[in-house]
Amino acid sequence: MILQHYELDDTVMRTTEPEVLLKTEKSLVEVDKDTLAVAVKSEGQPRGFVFQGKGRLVLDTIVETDEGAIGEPIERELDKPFLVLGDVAKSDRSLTVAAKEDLEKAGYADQKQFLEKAGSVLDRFGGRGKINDCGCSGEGGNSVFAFQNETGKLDLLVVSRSRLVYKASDVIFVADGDKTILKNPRHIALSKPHRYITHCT
Amino acid sequence: MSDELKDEMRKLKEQIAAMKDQLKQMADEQRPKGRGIYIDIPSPVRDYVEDAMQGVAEGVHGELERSIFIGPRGCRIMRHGPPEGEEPEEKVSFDKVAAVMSALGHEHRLKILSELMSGGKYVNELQEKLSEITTSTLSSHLNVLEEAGLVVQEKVRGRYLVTIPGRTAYKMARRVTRFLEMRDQE
Repeated sequence: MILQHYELDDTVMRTTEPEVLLKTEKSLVEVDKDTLAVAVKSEGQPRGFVFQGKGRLVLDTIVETDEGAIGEPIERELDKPFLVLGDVAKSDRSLTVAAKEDLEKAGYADQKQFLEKAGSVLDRFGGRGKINDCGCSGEGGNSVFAFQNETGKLDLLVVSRSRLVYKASDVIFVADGDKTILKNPRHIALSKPHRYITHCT
Repeated sequence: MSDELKDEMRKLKEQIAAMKDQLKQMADEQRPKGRGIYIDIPSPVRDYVEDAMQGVAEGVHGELERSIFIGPRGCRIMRHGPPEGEEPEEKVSFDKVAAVMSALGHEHRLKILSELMSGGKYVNELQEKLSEITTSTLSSHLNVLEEAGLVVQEKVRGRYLVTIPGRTAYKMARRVTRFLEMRDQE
């Protein structure tokens, strides 16, 4: 998935229903009703969204081994603007144009203020107007998420069918079918069926 | 030599032969069965040596038990104690040990762990296997096990998995029980 010269749309929308943006065996990203959304376009085509509202990221960053499970799930509230690129843009979403009250509820005086904030996430991800390889290619089912963490940096989640990569400031988790890798402050673990290596730090 | 003296000598020889037989019989009774070298050591020394050898054997056996895990796919050698030059490991507080033991200390929770030893399971699968436990009780037991770090629940799919500490604790409980059962049988 290569995005060229991507830009934000100039219309801010809001969700009219709770939306599940991603659901796999190990991951879930969802947003509540009335979440603000602005489309990310590349060559005139919708390629993704920047969302802001109440949402949730759930990841089962757990490595299963013959001697027991290592790691624990991650659950994060998504209350800062976050970027989604990929197949999420293709699905039909329950969206309507956001009214001034919707923006005010989210803490923005007007549409321009929200677009500036959403644009800053896009800039941090790679820079508007540039060519960016988002890391997924080939088959469908690809999505890239960029979440702002407490330090202002971006945590990345890349999902492609049965593959998943999550890179945050203190966690790296890779799952490819039944092969998993986890690195967090307490463990480094690699596992594939009937074989695993683990190191407690 | 007079006949009287000869008779006396014969009786003495018979007595010596009887005493020899008696000594041989006593020695045979003390000698271990089977082939091999046998050294007749005075009893107190033998007891001391036997005690000492038993102590050494138990020590070696215990160390092997602690250090080598032999599983279906080979063996794994574990290192114990802090590496050279590092500070000794901080002692585990007894309240934490008690919390883990408390989580283990229920028949239902041990049964749940036993079921999870063969792989992750959903609550309904556990409920099916452990039909004697009600749904609410099962949920409560799972919470106790999760809080103690013996199981972990996937948040997306909802399966429960036994953790490495959970598996170790369960094996330890079984081993202690087996040891006590063997002792009672003796």
